[in-house]
Amino acid sequence: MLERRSALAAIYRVGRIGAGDGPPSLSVHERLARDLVQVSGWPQSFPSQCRRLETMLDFPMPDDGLKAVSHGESTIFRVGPERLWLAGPWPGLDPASPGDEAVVTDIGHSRTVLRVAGPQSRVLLNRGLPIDLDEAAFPAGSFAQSVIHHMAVLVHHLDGQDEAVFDVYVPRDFAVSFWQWLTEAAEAFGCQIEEPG
Amino acid sequence: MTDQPDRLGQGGRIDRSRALSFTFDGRAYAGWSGDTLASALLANGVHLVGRSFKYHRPRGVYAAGVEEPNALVTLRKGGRHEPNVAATTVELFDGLVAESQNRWPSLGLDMLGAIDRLPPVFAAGFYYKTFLGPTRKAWMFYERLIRRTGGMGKPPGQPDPDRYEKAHAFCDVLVVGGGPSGLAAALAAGRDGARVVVVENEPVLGGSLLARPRGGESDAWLAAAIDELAALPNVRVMTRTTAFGAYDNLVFGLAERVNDHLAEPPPYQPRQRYWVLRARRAVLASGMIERPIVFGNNDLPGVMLASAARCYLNRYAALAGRTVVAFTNNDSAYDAAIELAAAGADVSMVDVRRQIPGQLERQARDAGVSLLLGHAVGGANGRRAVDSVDVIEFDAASPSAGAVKSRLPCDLVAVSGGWTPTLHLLAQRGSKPVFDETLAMLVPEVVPEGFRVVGGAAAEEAPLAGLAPERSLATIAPVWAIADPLGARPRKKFVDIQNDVTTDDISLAHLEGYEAVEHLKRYTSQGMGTDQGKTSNLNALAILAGLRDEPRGTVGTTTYRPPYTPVSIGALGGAGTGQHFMPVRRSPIHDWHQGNGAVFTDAGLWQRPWYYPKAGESLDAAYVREAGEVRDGVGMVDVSSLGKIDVQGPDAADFLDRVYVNNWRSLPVGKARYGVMLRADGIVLDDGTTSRISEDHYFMTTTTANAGVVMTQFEFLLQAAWPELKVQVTSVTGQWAGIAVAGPRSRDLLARLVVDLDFDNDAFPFMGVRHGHAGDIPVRLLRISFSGELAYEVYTPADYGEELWRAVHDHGREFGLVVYGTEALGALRIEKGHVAGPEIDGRTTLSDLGLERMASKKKPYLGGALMEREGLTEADRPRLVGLETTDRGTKLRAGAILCQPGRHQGHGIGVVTSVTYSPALGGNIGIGLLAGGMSREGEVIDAVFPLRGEVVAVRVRSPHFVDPEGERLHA
Repeated sequence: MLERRSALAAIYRVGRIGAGDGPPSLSVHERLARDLVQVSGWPQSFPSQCRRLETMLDFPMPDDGLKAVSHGESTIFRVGPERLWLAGPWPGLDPASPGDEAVVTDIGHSRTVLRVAGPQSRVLLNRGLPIDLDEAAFPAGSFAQSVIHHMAVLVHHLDGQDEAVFDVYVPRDFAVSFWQWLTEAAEAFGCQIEEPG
Repeated sequence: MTDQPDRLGQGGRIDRSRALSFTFDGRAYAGWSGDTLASALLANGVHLVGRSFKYHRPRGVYAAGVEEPNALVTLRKGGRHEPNVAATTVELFDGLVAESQNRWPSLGLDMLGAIDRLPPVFAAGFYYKTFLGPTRKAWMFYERLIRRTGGMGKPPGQPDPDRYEKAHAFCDVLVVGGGPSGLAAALAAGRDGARVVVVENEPVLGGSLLARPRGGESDAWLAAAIDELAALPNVRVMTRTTAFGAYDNLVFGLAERVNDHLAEPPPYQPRQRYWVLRARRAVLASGMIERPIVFGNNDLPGVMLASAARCYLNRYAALAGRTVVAFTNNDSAYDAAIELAAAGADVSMVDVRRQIPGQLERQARDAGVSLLLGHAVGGANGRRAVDSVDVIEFDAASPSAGAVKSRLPCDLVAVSGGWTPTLHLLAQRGSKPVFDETLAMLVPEVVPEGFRVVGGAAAEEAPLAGLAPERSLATIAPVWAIADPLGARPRKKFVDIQNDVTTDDISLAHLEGYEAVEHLKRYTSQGMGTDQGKTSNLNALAILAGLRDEPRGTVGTTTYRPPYTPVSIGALGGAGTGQHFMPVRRSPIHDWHQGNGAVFTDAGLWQRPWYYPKAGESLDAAYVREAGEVRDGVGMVDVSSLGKIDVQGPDAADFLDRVYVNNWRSLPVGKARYGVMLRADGIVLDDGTTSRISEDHYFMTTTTANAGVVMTQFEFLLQAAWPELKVQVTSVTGQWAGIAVAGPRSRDLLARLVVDLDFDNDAFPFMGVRHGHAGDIPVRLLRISFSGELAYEVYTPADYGEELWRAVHDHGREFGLVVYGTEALGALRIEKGHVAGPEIDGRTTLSDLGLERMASKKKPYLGGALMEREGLTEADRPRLVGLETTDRGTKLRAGAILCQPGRHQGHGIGVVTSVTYSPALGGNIGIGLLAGGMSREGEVIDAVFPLRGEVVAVRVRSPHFVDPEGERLHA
């Protein structure tokens, strides 16, 4: 069975890092082997494309580029005017099915996805992310495409009930640098690196 | 350890339960928690703390805050060594080590103090006038000596061991200043539910209230305000933080000194943090800074701002002097005088005004302050500290000073020339303050949208509810500088104490034509340095206005720029040091390279394997071996960093036809083609191979260097120039790992590995594109070649990259496979005459590179029109040629200038762009751009490298050194 190798395979160490010895206020783990498919189109046909996808996947489409639509482990981001990212397991997606007027590109190996959770996760991300993550400005479901320490990221605020939970999508070739930046910044708070999953 | 002789037995806002020890110039002293270094030194009776910038005059503590011009010291040791820190801004901690600066051999006996007694050649601009000759190089000699005598502290010589951080913050209302006005503003906004950030430079809130006597009504108000703010969850108070810069759209730069007050930061915690804060509104409650009146010897230790003397007394319980002369032109200094007298000092008040408000006069006399109204301090006396002042009668109407009337002994001169609102952040936004004749101060005029100025910064006198009013600002009698008393020896009268700029320097600058404020600043250096003239700017402007005989309001102010106070480079750099200086892009196969001895090279942000040395092998030996073994057998190289772009859509072929110079419609599915694209101005932008995966789907590769540029150009063209084209472009650089397998045995190797494909030359011809499997691994194979050998590029999704690499490597053993890096890759492509980054340098055209035959004549393409413009078609443009050294053992250098033999002049006739040792030819070769190009074939010319004095004879030949007919490619 062919297995995917994480960009972080050589440096990922599960365990507690940084300050303090009480329960950590942060946890980080890599989300492995997720699908990431881009569906894009053109202004005139994009709405009908979205309707077709909606029916095919039985999944609502996002209205704008501010809030993603999630259900279970799957999420759809509208990353451009006529561009969607389908993240998570999408076993039923046939590249040909969105129709002739849509372009489907598999970019599932191009991003490393890290989950940051805990009371200090906003503070940690704002060490590099110039986006207001306050609950009022960036409520659950919100996502933003921005830059952290020169690296392009997509940051998604998940509905973590009582806990702040964020997924960070970072280009695979920057993953090691990003991991080094993130874990070093997290040391100030004390952080649990959890098993990838 | 000494006692603290000038510390009062009670009072102050210091914590007497926490004793601290520190050293200054090696001597141990004691202080209390809550002290600054300056307050602790004063409490210990230390008044001489430094030597001045130019004249090496003795200097003491002059202020009590960020405006301090004088008391600059060096803190700490080793990597934490920090020069030029104002002692007034240093929170005392146990074990603090401080040293004075700019003195030799010691602070007490500074040999360079002799400069102060030299004739006045050291006036403004002296070095430009004095050290011009005798030769043009003379300045280079003098400069080193001058720099050694002048200047401030020494930079640290070791790496800083501490962490620094950068962070982003957001709020509805930013309040700059945690004094009474700022706290009132924060309370108002906080009660309304706004997200508020209060930034306070000091470690505690209170601002000017902290300089008032302890236990007054203001303390009760302050405590209540602090409690209420702490209870508001929407208010964040940031102490030890300076708002140093105001930028567009209410973006502010803040410097937080997180752990400067500790000897070492706690584990994992930063020393300082640089914040970028975005606000919706900003309230400037930054208060005012007192300015002095200028007089002779006004820089002596013991001369300080009246507000500073008051602050040291009430906040730190440190008595800065016991025999005090207060010198003023306004009411505010009376608070200091009265409170110093109450603390037991003998205080004389010298006030230039003949009349003062009656209540003020009564309060002063009741406190035992002797009053000398209508008088001025004409000069101070003393060697290392002030011991007396000369008092003259003062008449504001008369420009000349009278004779010395009396000499008052003193050990402290508390001077106040009025107040200057702190409007730097406003002025940084372009709203320069204007001069108010009544208040004799700079006040805000136009307040930019989103800003509000309150309290002292707005020159407001109105008291806050429940607080006693401040002294009136309007009763000031503007006086800037007092001339030398009649008949007295001339003394230096310092306007800018930090930069040793005197009234004479300003007069000289004016005399020599530097009449504009900006010119005055540059000529004299007034207003520069760590304090940026916070106590001197207005005096300098007023003196200049007097010399120009113009109203003060017309001379304007210099430009205000961030930072308001010095910000450490460490904070600005944040985490961006060491491995975080710039992020690194790593191939999916990076770990294997690292584990197998690769030496890496930087290619933009990418780290690519450069070569794989065997034990003891040099770069040259390694790459020559690697390249040779590729030509003789088979090799593999990681090409994952190549840019990759998916081009899809019904108009994809049309799009490619527009961006590439050659034709794409005719490319069948399953085939690849080499393409070149131009910039709009006709210069070559990039080259690469594009494969047709299906009818409407192409897979493009670009060079590593230009991947981003090409992608950006495509996005721009599709959005702005050709929105009608139904084409989608997506960067898939990170999606695919790429491995080039090259050499005569590459087919044999891959056929063994990818068993579901027919590798026969007819079934999988040159430029063919196929999809198959290497075991379980899905692969996309392109039969293309950069080396000139039979070669394939094998792509697989990135997470399978290392697995594929290992599979090729394992199967390659029986074929003698060599792993090669970018140096050997370069050697192979130079042997083949392929152009790359050094040739596609943003200046070359298709025909310069010998690629003119690729240009289609049947269709338009981007850059095609301007490619034909004059200048780009001239016959004598440098064109691509091959070069080989006539002596095969002599190396060529990239960048060498090509010249006619013996005529090594000017820009020569061309340049060497890429060089290598050619294992195939057994000699040193290169390619380059040469005027006349291949018309010079066979000529021997010189490759000149003047930096190293090298001249190498080279023969011009075809750049296709190896397999010019392409037989190996098509084998």
